[in-house]
Amino acid sequence: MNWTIFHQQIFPIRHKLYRFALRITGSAHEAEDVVQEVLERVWKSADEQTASVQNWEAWCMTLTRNRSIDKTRTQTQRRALPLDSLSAHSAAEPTPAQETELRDMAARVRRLMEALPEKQRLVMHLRDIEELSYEEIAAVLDITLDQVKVNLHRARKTIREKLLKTEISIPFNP
Amino acid sequence: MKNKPDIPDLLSRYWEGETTLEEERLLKAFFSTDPIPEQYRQEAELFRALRSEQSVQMPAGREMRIAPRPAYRLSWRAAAASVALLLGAGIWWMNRQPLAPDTPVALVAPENKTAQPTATTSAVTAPEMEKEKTAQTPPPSVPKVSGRRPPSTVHRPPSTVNEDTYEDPEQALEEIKAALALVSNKINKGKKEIGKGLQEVEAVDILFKKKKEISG
Repeated sequence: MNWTIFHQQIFPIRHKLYRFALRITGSAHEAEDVVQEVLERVWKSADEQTASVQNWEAWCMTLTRNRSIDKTRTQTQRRALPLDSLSAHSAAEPTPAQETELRDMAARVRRLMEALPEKQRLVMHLRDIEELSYEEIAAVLDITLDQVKVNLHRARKTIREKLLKTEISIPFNP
Repeated sequence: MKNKPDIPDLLSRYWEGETTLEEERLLKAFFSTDPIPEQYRQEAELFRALRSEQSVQMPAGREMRIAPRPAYRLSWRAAAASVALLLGAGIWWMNRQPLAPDTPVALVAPENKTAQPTATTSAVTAPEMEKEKTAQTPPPSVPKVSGRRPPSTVHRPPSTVNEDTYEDPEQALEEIKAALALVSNKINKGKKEIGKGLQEVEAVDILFKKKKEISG
């Protein structure tokens, strides 16, 4: 692997890979391991292997997905992410009140997303959090464009219904 | 300033999965500002949560470690190249050594350039020639130069069969020095290049070591 490519295109997306691995494995430790293994593999990959790679990000995301799935298969423990793990790693530094509010909302949305079927959950994650195009999502998850659209539509619909159903009081400024 | 986004329209298309990435970013930005109209409570909750998730990062200090193999690879290459160069220089040096200062000099001395191939051959096969020399006289090269030199200078004692391109030992020594300086210069250049690469690798390696320490 070329050092410049690794330094400029692979290393900076480590947080994105981490979030994706976290979404699949549900464990911060597992996600860290996955990212480390993926980056090691990319770094050690021969030039012939990477010659045809055009979208490094999509390629790394695919490796992350495969490695994460392997991990979850070998462990029975599924997503039991502590509720505060999200805001604990958050770069933003809101006030204590906002922090609580954000944590509550984020935790609830996270739980709703986690309850989705895997394909819907991953499509929604890649689109709404990582902001990938439909084509990139199709490539990463190895599904068709139509499947991407259908799964995204279903995921959002379910989330919306559940949000309406389990409405909680969020403090809003007048 | 852009027009205010048509939030109801954007939202209805969002739920249908028909918004573009740009429109979805607009929605996230809109719902992350206060105050939020009462009717958009659920939407605000969702978009704020999504935005918040985007900032989730790998815990600081626990970033991945990549085995510093590339550095080793460079070092081994450099080491192998250095050994090869030194060996080459050493062999070359040894081959030139037998030319002792008191050697009755080279019958080919006056014509250095034309005689070079002969000299090289004789240097490599010195022991062989020594045997041959006792058996047959005159040596093969003698007739070639005999016309230019008096017969007395053609005579060589059996112990001094090595011929070489340099008549003057001082000159030979200078040549050796120059050659070794060249080799040394090349090695230094290579070392500099390796140093540059190593600096870059080390920067990342520090992060990896931290991770290793923490994760034990």
